[in-house]
Amino acid sequence: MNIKKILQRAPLFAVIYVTLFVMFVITQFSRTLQIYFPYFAVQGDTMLAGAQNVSDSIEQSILGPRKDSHTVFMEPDTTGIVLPGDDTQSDPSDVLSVMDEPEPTPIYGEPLEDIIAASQPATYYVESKVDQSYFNDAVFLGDSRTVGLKLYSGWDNCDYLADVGMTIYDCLDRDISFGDIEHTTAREVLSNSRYGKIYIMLGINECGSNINTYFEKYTEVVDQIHRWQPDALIVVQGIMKVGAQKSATHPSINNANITARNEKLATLANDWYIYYLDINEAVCDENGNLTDGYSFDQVHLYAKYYSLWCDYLLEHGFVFNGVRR
Amino acid sequence: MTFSDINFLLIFILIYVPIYVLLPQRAKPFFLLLGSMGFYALNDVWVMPVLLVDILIVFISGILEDHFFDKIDLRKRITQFGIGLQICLMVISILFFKNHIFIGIGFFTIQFIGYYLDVYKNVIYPCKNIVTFSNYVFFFPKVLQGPIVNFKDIETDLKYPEKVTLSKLEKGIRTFILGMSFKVLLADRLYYLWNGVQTVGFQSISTPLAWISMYSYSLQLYFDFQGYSLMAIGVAQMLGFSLPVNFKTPYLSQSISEFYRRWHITLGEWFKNYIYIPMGGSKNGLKKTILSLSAVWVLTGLWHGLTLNFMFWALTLLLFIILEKTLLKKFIGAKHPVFMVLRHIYVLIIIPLTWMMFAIGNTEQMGIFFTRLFNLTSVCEPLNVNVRDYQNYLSDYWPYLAGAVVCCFPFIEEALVKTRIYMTRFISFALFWICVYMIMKNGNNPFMYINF
Repeated sequence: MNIKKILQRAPLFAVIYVTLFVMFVITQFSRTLQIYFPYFAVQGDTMLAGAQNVSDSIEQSILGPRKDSHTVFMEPDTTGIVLPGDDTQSDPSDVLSVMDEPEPTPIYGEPLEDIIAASQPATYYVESKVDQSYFNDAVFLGDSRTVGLKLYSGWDNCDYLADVGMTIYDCLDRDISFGDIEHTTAREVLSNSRYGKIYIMLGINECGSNINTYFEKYTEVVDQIHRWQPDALIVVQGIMKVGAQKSATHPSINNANITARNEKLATLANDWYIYYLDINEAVCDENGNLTDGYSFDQVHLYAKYYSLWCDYLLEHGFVFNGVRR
Repeated sequence: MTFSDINFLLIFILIYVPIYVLLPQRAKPFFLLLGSMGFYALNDVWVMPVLLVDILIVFISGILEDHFFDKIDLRKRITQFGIGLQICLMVISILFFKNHIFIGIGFFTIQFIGYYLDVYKNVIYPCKNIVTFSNYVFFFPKVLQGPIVNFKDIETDLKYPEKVTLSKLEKGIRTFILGMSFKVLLADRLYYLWNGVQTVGFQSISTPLAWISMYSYSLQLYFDFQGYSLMAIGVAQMLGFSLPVNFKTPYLSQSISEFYRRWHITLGEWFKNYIYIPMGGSKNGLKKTILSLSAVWVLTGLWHGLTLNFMFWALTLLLFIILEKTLLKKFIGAKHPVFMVLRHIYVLIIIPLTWMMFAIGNTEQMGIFFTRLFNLTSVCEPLNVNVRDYQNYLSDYWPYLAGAVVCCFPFIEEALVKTRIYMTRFISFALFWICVYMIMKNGNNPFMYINF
């Protein structure tokens, strides 16, 4: 019997019924299909979590075990220069207590401090007011909000690695357009070019994911970027908050969650090559919500209010202050 | 839960239809009622008690009218009271439950009023079977947003359901797939264009983008509502019912009045039968015509919502329809092909402009949008406009816009629903799975007309 006859004899409803049924049965048993069709699965959420673990383990098998972020981001030696918010300077007893503790097992063969000192000109930056030319060697990495910045900041002297729906998990390998190039990835761009400043704002799309996983991944990404761009200043921007109504009704995209994440992100700053900026000061009302009337969907700023973000970045530039050693 | 929800597809196609088909004829109305009430409860369980009481009131009024058949005065009172109650309920639900929409209240109200009037005028016998009547109200393909059905048109089918055959199932699923494709592949995609423009803020869009978004919204609204209507018709067909058609390629109309004879037909018919003709209609001189038209359009505006923008929308349309009956009569009636083209252009400019009044609830924002549309920089200063924004949107959305324009012509529907060759079967099958994939990938948007 040829295919034409089969198709003519089997009514469409029957075919759809059978395929739907088969699909439903298969997805109850097949792990791979459940990842792509989570809706069919009985326990959709646990499956998704499983998928995350799968990709994690794949990544680990490729990249090797994840390095402890705190050994990589070693506190800089601060002799001679006093920096705002530098805890080690203010309380010497802390330093002593740290010294009492057993030394962490070094990952590298020789002391990390020496490697860094030998390979990188460690520099210090101070916050200062800047003008637009400051962004000549800058790149912005981010989600739809950064896409908005790209379209409505009016700054065309810097680069943007931004895509709607970008997350910290896929930001390096997501297929994005970059300038005239239609298809590339942030990995490609960041590992093949040289930037002076890298501004990151990612996190609103990940609000539903676990905060610790998010932070770990963020640390990893910043670490990776630093390896590609050892001379660059990395500015971690706190996640911009959402409007009061959205915050009150959404289970995960709410300002309590965002604040918790921002507090974690702020700890990434090492007053050395990673700095933290919270633009919420510029766009939020006194209750800490995105000001009413600044946004249509309570998440993205109206085009005319991107200037607030831009002005804040200009007010809080980081200017090179001196070589460390 | 709506038709483009994957749970609906799974439960309905995998479980509900087979059981319904296999049940004996006498049990079908009960199973239908069970399904319908379950479907409504899944959408909105909290207004169910109100609705059940409401149904009971209308049902008992019908019985009373039948009982006091001779007492015209009493029947008039009952009818007036019933209609008044329905209108009160609708107004209350719109005014006081702003955050909690009483789903389908507009459609319930209209159908109940039609039922009252038909019973009062002895057009139909009042329904004496509560199951049949509840089925009429709750019938789940139409419960959320129409098509509006008169009781007399569906009564027999509800009492004695037809046998479902495989070929009817096939026809139903073809219609359903076409509707689902309109909704998921066109309307839901174009949603992001209009949403994007709103996110940017009307003050910051370029004039070309304003026009593109206006046409995009017009297409989106059509395919959203037409998609829903076709899905409803398809679902009903799968169960052996036939629902009236709601759209007949409206964007190919040549006048505004023709457009509204081809757009949301069942609502237009209702207003024609219960308002326009009783008030005098078109056969009693121009004055009466204009008066009845005004009543119809003011009520249409009110039915869509008690905000100012719907009034603007309805009154603008009323103005054009009256103009077409008076000053533009020659232009509308001219037979030369040039006029035909001009009329198409006229409709395709006026209708999208009126949709913008329909779409933008805030009158101030609406004003800003119109200044951007005609680039009136002196009235409202544009802020932070990205002059090349429309290129970004066009490069992202051109396939959907082009597809939507093609689907405005009738041949797609004819090919996919009426032609039964294996090629179109295969296309329908593929479309079904593409839609399922898209729903799973992107989640689904609620239907736009669900607020009315």
